[in-house]
Amino acid sequence: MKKFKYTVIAMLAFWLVSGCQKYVDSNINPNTPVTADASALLPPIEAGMARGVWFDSRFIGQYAQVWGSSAANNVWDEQGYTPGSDNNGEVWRTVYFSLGQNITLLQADALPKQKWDYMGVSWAIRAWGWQKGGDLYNYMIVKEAFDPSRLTFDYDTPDYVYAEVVKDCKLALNYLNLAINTDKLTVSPTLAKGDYIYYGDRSKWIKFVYAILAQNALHISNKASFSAANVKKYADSSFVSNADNAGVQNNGTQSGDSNFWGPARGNLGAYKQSDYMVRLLDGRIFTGSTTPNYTLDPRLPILLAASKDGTYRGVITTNGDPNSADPNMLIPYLFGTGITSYPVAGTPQKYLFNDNTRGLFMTYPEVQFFRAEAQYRSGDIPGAFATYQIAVAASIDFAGNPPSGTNLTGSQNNITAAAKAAYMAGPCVRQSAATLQLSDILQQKMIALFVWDPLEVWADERRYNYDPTVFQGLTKPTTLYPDNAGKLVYVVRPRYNSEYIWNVPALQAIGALQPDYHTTKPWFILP
Amino acid sequence: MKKTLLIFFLALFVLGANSYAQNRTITGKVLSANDNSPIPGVSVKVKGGPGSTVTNMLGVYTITAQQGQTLVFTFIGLVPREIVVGAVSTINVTLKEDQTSLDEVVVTGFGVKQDKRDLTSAVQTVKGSDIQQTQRENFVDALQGRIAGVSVTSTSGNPGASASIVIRGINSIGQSNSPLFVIDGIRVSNDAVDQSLLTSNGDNRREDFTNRIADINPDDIESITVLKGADASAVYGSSASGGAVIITTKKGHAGPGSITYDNDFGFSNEYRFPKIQTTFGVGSNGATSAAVRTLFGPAYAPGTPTFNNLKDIMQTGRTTINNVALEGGNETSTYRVSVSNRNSTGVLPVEYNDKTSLRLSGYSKITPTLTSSASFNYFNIDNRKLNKGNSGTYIDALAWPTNDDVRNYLNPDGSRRTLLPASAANVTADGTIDFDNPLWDAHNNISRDKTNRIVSNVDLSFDPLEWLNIRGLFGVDFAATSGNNFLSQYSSSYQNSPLNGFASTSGISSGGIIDNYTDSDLQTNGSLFVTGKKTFGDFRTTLSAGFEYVSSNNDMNGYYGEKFIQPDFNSINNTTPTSQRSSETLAISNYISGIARLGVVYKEMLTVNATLRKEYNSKLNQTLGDSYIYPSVGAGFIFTELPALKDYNKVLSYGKLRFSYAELGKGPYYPYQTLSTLLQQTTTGGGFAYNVTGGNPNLVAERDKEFDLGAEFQFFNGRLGADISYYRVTAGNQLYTPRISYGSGYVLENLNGGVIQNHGVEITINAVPIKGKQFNWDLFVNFTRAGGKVVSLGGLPEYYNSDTWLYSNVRASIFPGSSTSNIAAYNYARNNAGQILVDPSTGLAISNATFGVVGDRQPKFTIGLGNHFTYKDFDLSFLFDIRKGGDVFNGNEMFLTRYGLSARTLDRMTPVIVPGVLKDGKENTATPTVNTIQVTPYYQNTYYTSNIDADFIEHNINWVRLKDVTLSYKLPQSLLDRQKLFKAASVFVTATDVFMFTNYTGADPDVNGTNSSTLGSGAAGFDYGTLPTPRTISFGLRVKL
Repeated sequence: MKKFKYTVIAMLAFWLVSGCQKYVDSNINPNTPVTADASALLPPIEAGMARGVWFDSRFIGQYAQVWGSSAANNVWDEQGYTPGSDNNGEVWRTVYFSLGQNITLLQADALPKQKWDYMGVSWAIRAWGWQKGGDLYNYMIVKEAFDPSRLTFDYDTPDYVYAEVVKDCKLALNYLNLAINTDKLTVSPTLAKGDYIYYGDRSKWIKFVYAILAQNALHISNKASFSAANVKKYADSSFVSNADNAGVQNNGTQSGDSNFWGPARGNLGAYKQSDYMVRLLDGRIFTGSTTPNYTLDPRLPILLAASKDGTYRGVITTNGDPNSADPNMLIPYLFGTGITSYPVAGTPQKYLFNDNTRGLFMTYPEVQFFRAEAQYRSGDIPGAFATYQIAVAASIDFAGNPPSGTNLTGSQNNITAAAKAAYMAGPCVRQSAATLQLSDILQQKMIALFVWDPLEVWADERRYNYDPTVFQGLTKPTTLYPDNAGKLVYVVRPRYNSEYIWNVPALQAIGALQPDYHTTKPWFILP
Repeated sequence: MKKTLLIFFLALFVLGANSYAQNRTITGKVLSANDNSPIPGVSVKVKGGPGSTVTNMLGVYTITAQQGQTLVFTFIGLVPREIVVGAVSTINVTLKEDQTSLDEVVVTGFGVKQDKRDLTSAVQTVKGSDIQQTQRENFVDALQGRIAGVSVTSTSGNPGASASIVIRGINSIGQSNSPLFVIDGIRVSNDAVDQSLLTSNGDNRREDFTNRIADINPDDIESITVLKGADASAVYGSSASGGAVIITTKKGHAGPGSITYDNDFGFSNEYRFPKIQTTFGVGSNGATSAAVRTLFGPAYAPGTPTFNNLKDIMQTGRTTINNVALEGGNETSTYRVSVSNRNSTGVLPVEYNDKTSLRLSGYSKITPTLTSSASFNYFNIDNRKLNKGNSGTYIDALAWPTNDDVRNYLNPDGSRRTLLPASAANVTADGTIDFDNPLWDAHNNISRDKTNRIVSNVDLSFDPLEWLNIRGLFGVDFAATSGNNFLSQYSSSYQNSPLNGFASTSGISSGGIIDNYTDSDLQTNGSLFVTGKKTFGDFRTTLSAGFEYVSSNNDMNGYYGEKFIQPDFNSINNTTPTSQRSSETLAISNYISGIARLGVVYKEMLTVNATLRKEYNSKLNQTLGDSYIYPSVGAGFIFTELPALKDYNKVLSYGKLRFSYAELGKGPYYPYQTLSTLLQQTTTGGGFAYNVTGGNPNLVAERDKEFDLGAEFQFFNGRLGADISYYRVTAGNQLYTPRISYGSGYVLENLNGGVIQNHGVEITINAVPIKGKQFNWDLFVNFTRAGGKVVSLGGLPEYYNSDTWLYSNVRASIFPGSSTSNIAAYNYARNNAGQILVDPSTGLAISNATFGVVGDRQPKFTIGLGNHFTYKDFDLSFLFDIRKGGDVFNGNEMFLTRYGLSARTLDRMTPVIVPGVLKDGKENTATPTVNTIQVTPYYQNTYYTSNIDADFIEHNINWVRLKDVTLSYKLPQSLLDRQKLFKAASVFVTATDVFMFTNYTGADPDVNGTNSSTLGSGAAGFDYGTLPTPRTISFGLRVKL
């Protein structure tokens, strides 16, 4: 009997232990989901793209001399960097964190559910990320990226990064075409649910992918393998008007969903228009005149801001604003003439300075400038001239009708048809193929990219090795950052808090621990 | 065997019968020497004779004995007495508590009492009365110095401050190193609220939250046993990897009922302050400026009144404690009820902590083989707190201009008096903040927690056979806390805001903030064990097998709002609806384990213990394996049992060598670490994106391997005792959440990696130098030497807990090869030859802007020295806490220096040349340019404001602190006999933290920069913005009815 009792107790104990497994089967987080529908993941990914460009534009804009610091000898104006800081490391964050695993998760939802358009869009954004990253950082982590079993991550060579862009673009095109072929819809309501760039318009996404391919093909312009025909071909499949421009919606209701350059975010204070931009827009560079003419370019009052005394002034790099103590002569905020105190959040502003201005990635004029440059370099000067004219005209349209809210292109018509025609016929625009210079294409492009894409401006300047005949307003900084050892800046260091503490051996392998690493020339500009 | 017994009893009977004729009746009363209360159940025997009896409920006995025979009085826990029967027939006896008795029987696993002889690992016990007599609000603080190997650091000197306790150093770099707390066999929570779980996602340094074990009424504690090493984890599993603190509560005693009442009135005063200068006034670079608060301006005009504002805001903190305990019972059932009420106010204004505890416990022998006990404990705590750290009261008081009286903080109309116009524009950098007036802050920025808690347990024990016991325990610990954080719309203090990406925002710029939470924590815990005890020849064996489960359910709900509609109305309903945010963090975890223990004792000389434990842990579910097994073995050898040594036992009465080896598996601290989680976004279109921390499905349990060697000695019949331990832990598979390359797709990732080593020596000495009729002196010494080293971090270069990044660039980072309690800071930039680099444009030293090893918070050793004297009815005890070595970050001094307030900035008129070489491009050549740039700090205050962080790490900090001293006087029995009401009465006076001798230049090196919920090595030794522990003097009386 006793034996029986203990057998029962022992059996009971065993039963309990075998039940353990079930008892501990509870490690699913009740507070937050671990998977989500692709349409819930896409909006932050798209917003992350804008964030990367915005944050780094501040510093790249100083390298490119689109703007400068109002204080003299700013390290970024000196083409240096801030050691121990994440400044100018935002595109790194965008590629690896904002896009990174989020795109992987989006694809994990989209692929089995055959949401081909989400697949296409996700590959397009991956491609865009590698293109931005490859241009800034040269070496990138591609093969080992996102591997949960790794603690450190080796870098891949820049040619591999550039090839990855093409590979991902092709995947994107395949999926987008598959999506259209499957349901015969150009605008997909499913994609529209999560897409704040094109609201589900797959054909526009296809154009955007071609724009990325065009940029990828153009950037290797110094290489023997450069194909102007490819650039032209891709550009022709790309945007056909400003209504195709790639940019993401900003609601402008609070800090998190507002345009970086709008009043709510308050980021413009430290950045003052450059002397170079002023000279581009007041005609001194294009006409060769030594006196500024504020009436030549209708974009001048829209893009830049005059001092209280009516004069347009800009920062000559590293000099700061010499008149900062004089309220009449100091360089105002870009918001408008004489503005030195920040406008209230939500108040309407000009150009791209509204809280709900779209966060732009690529535009029709920009792609036309790709095409013009490629044609020019291939010797097709008349073709280049025609494209150049289209591009300049489109850039005036863009400045006059900046996109905001859900509108891909605005309808403000801030520049009248007459003003546009006058400019097109004026001395700033070449009137014949014979007089067209590379500097006309690239500097008109610089105006077209003003504020929203200093990254592309800097890529152009680097491709031409800061050539003062192409970029006629560039000023070599009188003082360069000490670590530069007299050399100009050519690459951006990987993000400090990602790489300079946590991935040091990989940095060592690419030489990024050298004090002058940022002056090494990236692969894409080399012959 | 039975036969022998029979013959023995027969012989006794015959002997007894033989002497019967000369017997007479002796009666008397047995009283406790402690409080003169009668002791029922004392065994009274005639030595060498057959007579024996026990005292009744009133402590009265009657026995027959002859003159010249000896009566022996014995009772567990009391010193036996022998009295020769004389001519009188009434013999009253008082019995003293046996000081060493607690060492003999200790409560280890699941409420089981074990003979200390049978243990094979390090265990130490403290009496509850020693803890209680310190009258400390957080009894954990009273453990410092009383147990070797235990390190306790209080967060601050405020009421309700948390205390972090670490036993035998750091074994986990990224998880909790707090020991497990067990009350009467049931686990109870010691969690402090983690500020990062509030909707504002705060860091654990702006506010303090009491560690929950401090709720316990010290007057309910009978004894505290600390299981230090391997054995603790063998018994209690992975949650006891940091050791276990086993609390045994007071139970009712059989006998006449009694009521005990005691009270305490305490007065606290702050006596340690940072040194400040009052020569120079507000300004910068030698010029007066209205826009700053820094004291880099011109010297005050002679005769200008100046103030020590920090001192001026202090007050006397008052504590009132009232305890009542009722007990009673008979041989089969007892009960005890205790009520405690405690109110304390702080040395800073406004703050207070009110605690009420109600405890019921009962025991009953239901049948001869079935016993049951149960307890129920209710707590109510109301804690009004002041903020600490960066914009806390302490820093605010220091930052107040020295020519302005801080006490004058209101305008005549009752509104806040500001010195600078309170606008957001002034809240830019340290130097230009218009800090809140600390008194205004204390009154208007509210931080308050209210807790209701129930801890209850049931214990059933069944002995179906003489050698077999089945025991089941079940317990519930439920605490509900509601917290209110109110930041006035007029305040320039700041905190994190979820509306702003969790960046800091001030009360002014946010229009006021309510950041409330409700936290409900439920932990249930049960165990069932079958234990068999049998002796086979020379082998005494114990085999125990059973299982234990722990289930915890923590639900933290936060709700947040900004932009008050009606100023200063403290309700979430007063915030603008569009600014309201809420958050929920529900953490459920279960774990269950099967345990088998075997103990074999050979000839009462050699002991072998072995344990096998298998744990199933829900926190490792969703990985490759959610269970792990680990063993422990131990051996003890009582060499004084060797026949050859028996002759020497007058000198060496007891000697034991012990050894144990244990392995331990330890799952993650938080659940849900395996899968990455999505966070809702505020960008256009909303949606979800991955949070910064990546989950990891490859996680496995941490693995500790601990080796423990010890020796125990008792000399001269226990007059001198020593216990020496050496341990070494190798803790591998460290689970932590470091920053990682974004190449992972995350900013931080949960991962396994790294090995740490931790070792130490503990020596405990107990001695009774004088033992007399009227005068007694006993003392103890606890010596601790410990140290941990990071062997590797799995390939990563550094790991830090961002909570510890309190001020400037100093934090608790660890590196491969560094100590586990390392301090990392920015240091001087140097050239290849090691010379300091100087900026050619400023003449100031350049910071290397890199975190590197600059100090180690681990002391070389600590000593707790306790003395206890009794003289007649007087009783004096005191405890010294002595520390040698160990580094402290003097963040207050760094702040004061950067603020121009430190006494070290007085010398600002003297030009200095920073010794070093210029960073002019030639610094690494054979001929670097020696710096000759002269700097006059008075005109160039960047000399102070851009100073190098590493300079503020103070090295080799020693202290001697009188932790506590108590003098009590017991009213003599002759006096008490004149009345009927009181059976015993005593009065006492106690002082805690009486004085401190230290080479530390700041106020108090014994502080903690964060609260006790910070994981890893915590922030003990980070002195910034924290109120030092004040001196408290209290007195009271204790009576027994």
